[in-house]
Amino acid sequence: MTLSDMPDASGIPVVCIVDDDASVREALASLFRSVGLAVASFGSTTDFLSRENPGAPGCLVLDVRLPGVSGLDFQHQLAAMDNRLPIVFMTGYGDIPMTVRAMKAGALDFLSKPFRDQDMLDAVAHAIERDAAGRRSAEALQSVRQCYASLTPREREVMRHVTTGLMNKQVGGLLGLSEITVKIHRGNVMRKMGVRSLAELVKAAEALDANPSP
Amino acid sequence: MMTCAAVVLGLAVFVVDTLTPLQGAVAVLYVVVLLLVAATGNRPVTVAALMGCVALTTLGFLSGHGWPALDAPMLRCAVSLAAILLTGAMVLRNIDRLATIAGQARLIELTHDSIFVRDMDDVIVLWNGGAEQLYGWTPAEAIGRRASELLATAFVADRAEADAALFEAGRWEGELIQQHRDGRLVIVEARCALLRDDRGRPLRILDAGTDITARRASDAALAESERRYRSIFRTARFSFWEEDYSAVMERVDALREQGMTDLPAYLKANPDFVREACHLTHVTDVNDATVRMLGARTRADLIGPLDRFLPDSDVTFADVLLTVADGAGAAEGETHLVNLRGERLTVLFGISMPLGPRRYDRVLVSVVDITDRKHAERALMALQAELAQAARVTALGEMSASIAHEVNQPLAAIVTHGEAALRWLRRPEPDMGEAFQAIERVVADARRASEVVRRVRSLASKEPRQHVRFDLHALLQECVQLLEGELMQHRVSLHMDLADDAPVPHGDRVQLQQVVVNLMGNAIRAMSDMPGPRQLVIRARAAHDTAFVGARPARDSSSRGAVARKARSHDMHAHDTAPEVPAADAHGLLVEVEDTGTGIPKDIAPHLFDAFFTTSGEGMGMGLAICRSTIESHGGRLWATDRPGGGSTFHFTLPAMLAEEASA
Repeated sequence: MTLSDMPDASGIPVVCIVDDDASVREALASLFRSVGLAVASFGSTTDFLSRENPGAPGCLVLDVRLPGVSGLDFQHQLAAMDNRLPIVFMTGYGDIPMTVRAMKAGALDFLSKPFRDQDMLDAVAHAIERDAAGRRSAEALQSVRQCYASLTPREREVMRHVTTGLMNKQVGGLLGLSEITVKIHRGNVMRKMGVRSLAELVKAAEALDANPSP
Repeated sequence: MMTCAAVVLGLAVFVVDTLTPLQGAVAVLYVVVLLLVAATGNRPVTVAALMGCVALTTLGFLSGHGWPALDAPMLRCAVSLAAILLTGAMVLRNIDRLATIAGQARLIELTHDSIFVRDMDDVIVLWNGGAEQLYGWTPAEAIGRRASELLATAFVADRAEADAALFEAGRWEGELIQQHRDGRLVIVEARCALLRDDRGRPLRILDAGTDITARRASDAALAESERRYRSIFRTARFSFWEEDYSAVMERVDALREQGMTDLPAYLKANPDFVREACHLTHVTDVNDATVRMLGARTRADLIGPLDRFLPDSDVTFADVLLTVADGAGAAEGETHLVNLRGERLTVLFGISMPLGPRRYDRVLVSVVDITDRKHAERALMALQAELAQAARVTALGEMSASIAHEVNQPLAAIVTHGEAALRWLRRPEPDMGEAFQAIERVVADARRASEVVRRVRSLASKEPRQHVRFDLHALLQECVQLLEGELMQHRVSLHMDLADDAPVPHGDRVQLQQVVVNLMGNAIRAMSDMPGPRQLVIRARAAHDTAFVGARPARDSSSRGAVARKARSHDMHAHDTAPEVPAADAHGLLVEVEDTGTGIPKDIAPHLFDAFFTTSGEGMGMGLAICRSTIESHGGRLWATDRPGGGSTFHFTLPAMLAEEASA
C-alpha cells in the first residue's frame, strides 16, 4: 500500500487505485499526483478493505480483471457493505455485456486500457464530485435522523399524520386527543426537527421514509 | 425219378412192341416216355431220350417185320416215328422256352425293382426280392395274399381310369401310395401289365414298382425351397436382382479361345470391354424393394441391360465380372447407381456365385441403398470438422485474449506513464524528478511488453512434437472424404497423382492433415464461381526433381541451364518470397494442390500468408498463415504459384526423415 502524500483523515478526497499490475498502479498514481490529487494504491481488494478508513471520501479506480474476486464482484461486495464510494472501472478487454453490468450496478465510468489520460481524469473528477454530493446528502439525512430520534412516541405519531396532510382536528380525532393538544405536539415536532414550515417537515419525513435507519 | 420211370416205361413199350403180336401202333407210347423225360427240363437227356425212342421204334419194327415192304405195319411204324419226332420237337422247343423264362425269372430276382404277379382274383402268385425290399413282406408271406389288402393300395390318380387303361391297352403306369409291412406309406412308381392267355382272356397282372418316396420328398423340398426363395426374393426389404451374364460369358469364352489367358489384366487394359459387358448383362428379375429404390412403377421397367443403372464412373464392375467368370466366390463393394429419376444413389452390393453347376443366367445380386447414411455421415463429418474448426477458433480466441491482456497491461502503463510525464513537465514548475521516473517506467514497461511477445513465441514453438511416419495416400483419402460434400456441391472433379517414389512423410499427422484440408478447401472455394470444368489436382512426388530444385538458388553448375529456366518461370509465377529451401530438403516430399480457379490477384499475392488476411469474408484469415507456420515447424516450406492456363498451385515440402529419427 502506497500512502498518498496527503492523509485522507483530513477529509480531502483520495483516489484509490486497485490493480494487480504494479506498473499500471504507479502510472496512474503518477498521473493523478501530477494534477494534484491525493492517491492511495492497492494491489488487491483485500489490501483496499484493510486500509485505515475504507469509507473516506474520494473515489475508486478499479481494474475488472483482478486475482481472486473480480472487479465486478467486488463492486457488489462494497454495495453490500453500504460503501458508496463511486467506482471508475478499467479493463484490458472490455466488452458490452460487462460494461452494461458494471453500469447497472452503479459504476460511474468504464474505461478500456490503454485510456486517454484526460478521459481518466474527467472520470475521476466526476466521481469525486458525485462522492462529495452523496456525502452531503448523507450528512443531511443523518441530522434529520438524529432530530427524529429526539421525538417522543406521541410526537412521532402526530408527525406521521400531519405529514400525510391531515388537519389538526382530524389528527386529534384519530389519536383521541383534543385539537389543542395536537397543536402543542405539532409545535414541539417542528421545533425538535428544526424546520420552519410544514413543507420542510414533509421533506424530512420523505427522506426518512426513503432511507429507513438500519 | 422221372427219368427212371421213363426208362422203365420205354423198356416196357419196347418189350410189348417187339415180343407181343399186337397189331397196333404201340410205339406211339414212346411219346409218353419223351414227355416224362422232358418234364425234367434237361435238354441233353431229352434229346438222348428222343433218339433212344426213335432207335427203339425202328429196332422193334425191323425185328418184327424184316426188311420193309410197303405194308400196313410199315405205315404204323412211320406214323409212330412221326408222332415221336413231332413230340420231341415240341418238347425241346418247350424246354428252350422254359429255359428262357427261367433266365428271365432270375433276372426278375436280380432287379432292384419290385415285381410281383397276381391273378385275376388279386391273389399274389409271384413276389421277387425287390418286392420284399420295397414292401417288407417275404415271398412266403406275400404269395397267396390279396395284393390290394396286403399293400393297402391307393391310387394317386383315378382308379377307374387306371383299370380301363390296363384292360384296354394291357398296361398302365402311374403312382401308387402303398403301405410297407411296418405301416409307413411308400410312394411307388408302378408299371402294370396284363397277361392274357391264348384266347385273350386276362390271366395275370404283373406289377413292377420303383420306390420314389425319397425322390418325391426331395422334389417337394426343392419346390418348397424354390417357393421360399421366390418369397424371400419378392418381399425382402433389401434390393435383390437376378442378372443374366450368359452373353458376357460367351464373349469371355470367345476371347479365351482367341488366346486371352489373363482376364483381370485384359479387363484392366480394356475398359471399353467392361462397359460393353455391362451392357450385355441383363437384369432378368428384381424385387419390390428394387422397384422402390430405383423409382420405377413396375418390375418390367427395370428388366433390361444393366448399364442403364450403372454410371460410367463405376469401378467395381470389373471385379464383378471376375467373380462371375470364376463361377465361384463372392464380390462386394460400394458403388453408385442412377435411378430412373436420374438421382445418384450410393449403394453397397454383394454378389455370390451359387455353388454347384456353373450357371450364368441367374446370378443373384443384393444391394443396400446407403445414400442417406452417406449423407448423414458426410454431414456428421462436416459438423465434426466445423466443430473442430470452432474449437480451434475458440481456443485461438481465448489465447489471443490472454495474450492481448498480457501485452495490453504494459501498453496501458506505458501510455499512462507517458502522459503523466508530459503533465509533470507541463506544470508551471515542471517536476523533472517525477517526469524522469515516469519515463524510466515507460522504458521498463516497453521491455516488459516485448518480453511477453518473446514468451508467446517460445510457447508456440514448445508445442509437444508428435511426429510419426504416416501413409500419405491414406491421409489424402481422409482429406478427400472430409471434403467430399464440398467437392460434389461445387461439382469439382478430383485427380490424385501420387508418384511411386514419393517418400513416406514424417510429422504431426493431424496438423499436416489440417494443412491439406485447408489448401483443398481454398482450392474448391476458388473454383466455386468458375464456369467450365473445375479440376482439383493433388500431386505428390519426391522433391529432388527440377520443379523443386528450381525453387532454390541454383548451385549445381552442371544443370544450370535447366535450373535457370525453371527459376525464371518461378520468378514470373511465384508469389511471396521465393522459398529458400535448404539443400537438405531437396530429397524430401513435395505435395502440390492445384486448382483451375480464379487464381491469385497480383495485389493480394504479397499478403497471401499474412495472419488476419482474408478474402472470403468469413473466417479469421488465419488459414494460410497457420498452414505456413505448421509446414515451417516441420522444416518444410509452403508457397504458391500461378497455374499456367488459370488457377493457382500451392506447393509444400517436407524434408526426408533423418537417419537417426528413422531408426529411433
